[in-house]
Amino acid sequence: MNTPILPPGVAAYVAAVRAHLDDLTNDEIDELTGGLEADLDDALGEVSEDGNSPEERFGPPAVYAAELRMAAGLPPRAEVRGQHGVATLWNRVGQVTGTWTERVRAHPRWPATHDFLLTIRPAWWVLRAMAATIVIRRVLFDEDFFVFVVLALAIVVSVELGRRGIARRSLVWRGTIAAGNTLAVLMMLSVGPIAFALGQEGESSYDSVPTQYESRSGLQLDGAEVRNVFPYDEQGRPLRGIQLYDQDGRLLEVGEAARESVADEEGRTFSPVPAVDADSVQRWNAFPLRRQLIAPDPASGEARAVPGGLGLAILPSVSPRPLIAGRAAEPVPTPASPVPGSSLSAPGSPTAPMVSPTTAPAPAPTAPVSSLAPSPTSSVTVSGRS
Amino acid sequence: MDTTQLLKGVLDLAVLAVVSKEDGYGYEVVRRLRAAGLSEVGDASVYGTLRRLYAAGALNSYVVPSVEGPHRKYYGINGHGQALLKEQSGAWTLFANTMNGLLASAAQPTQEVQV
Repeated sequence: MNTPILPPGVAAYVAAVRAHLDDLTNDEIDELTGGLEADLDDALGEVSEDGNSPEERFGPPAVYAAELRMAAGLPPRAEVRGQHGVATLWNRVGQVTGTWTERVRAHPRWPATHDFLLTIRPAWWVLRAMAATIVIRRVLFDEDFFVFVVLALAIVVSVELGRRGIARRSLVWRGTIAAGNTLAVLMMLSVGPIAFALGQEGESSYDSVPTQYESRSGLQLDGAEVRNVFPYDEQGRPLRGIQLYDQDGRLLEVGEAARESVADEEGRTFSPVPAVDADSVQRWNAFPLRRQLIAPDPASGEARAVPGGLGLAILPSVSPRPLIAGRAAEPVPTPASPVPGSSLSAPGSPTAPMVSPTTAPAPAPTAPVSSLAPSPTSSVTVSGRS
Repeated sequence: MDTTQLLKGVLDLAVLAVVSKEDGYGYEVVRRLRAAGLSEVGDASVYGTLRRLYAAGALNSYVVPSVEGPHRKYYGINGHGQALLKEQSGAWTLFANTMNGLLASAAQPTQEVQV
């Protein structure tokens, strides 16, 4: 497409005239306004006492468009040609907004503003594609590779929609694109254009959407989900049945995401198992969490707990050194502390002592799935005391 | 008298006449009409008329690209247009003669009334 040099306002004027003809088919509009830029340009090239802006010379675009269509033998705009209910409503909306847009277009700054907006229009097309990608990503999948493929496709589609002026083609298209554009703008406002441009929406948008908070709650370390906690005593020996609270007495629980099944490196699926306290309340702040082997039922194929598959979580491969400072510190005896020997002073008072779930075996080296409890030192602490 | 009302009825004929001499693009046709004395002719009316005559099959149309400016859409008369021009010219001449006669008789009322 060549970009002819036009006096300011000619392109805008023609666009405004076309807008007043937009109840016609695209072919009719093209037929009516084809070469109009050149004609207006020529007319403006002649000195006239009327003035030099298109509005001064040719009158309001609405009047000009009406004259054009009448001379061409086309019905006036108000005369609706076999349109259905939605179209009539659309026309009525158009009449209301039309008055407003005409006022904007009549403003002396409008031609320059319009030219500027036309220049940055491709940026809008790309932004719109990004918004579409976010929607598609949220609705369909979360694979980063496909996100780029979808983004590339969305950009092509969005730019082509804009370049070919498909929005002008029919009422249905116009309505669809108007609705889509509204969605895109709302999406951009909710996500924030910068995070959006940097492609960080995965994280940042979750933070900005309160309803998503639940899934991001619970213990985290540097933004990553903490799935389990392995306490060690001052000698560096692993502890079990430890209840954790923060400074305000809130439960230091793993989040919802950490309560779901995960596969180990051998492909077996384990579901974390919370402790149950004396009030039969599941406790996700008692560590380490145990785990239950999950496998498909041979008969139904549905995933279910394997009988006898409950065991201890595998300790991380760390070997904590014995503490020297920790020994020197005088332990504060706390009557309510559920774990004797703990040097922590409990901020709240954990109400119920822990009990093992009735189906659970005693957390001892004799656990049924002993291979799941590889630590030879696992018997040094107790859990399930009552 | 409002000549724009008169013009409406004969604009087709005027445009056909102007284009029959030589092909022209929109504003050029406007210019020729004004040069011929139809100073009140509206730009958009002429463009609309050109489009309608084209749609009616009386004109040919072609686009001439321009290096510096926007492309121009030229119109030229074809066979159907020529026939239309001839027919409408005849109708106009008849009408104009009738009107002239009517007006001439109105100018000398006493003598003509006796006839």
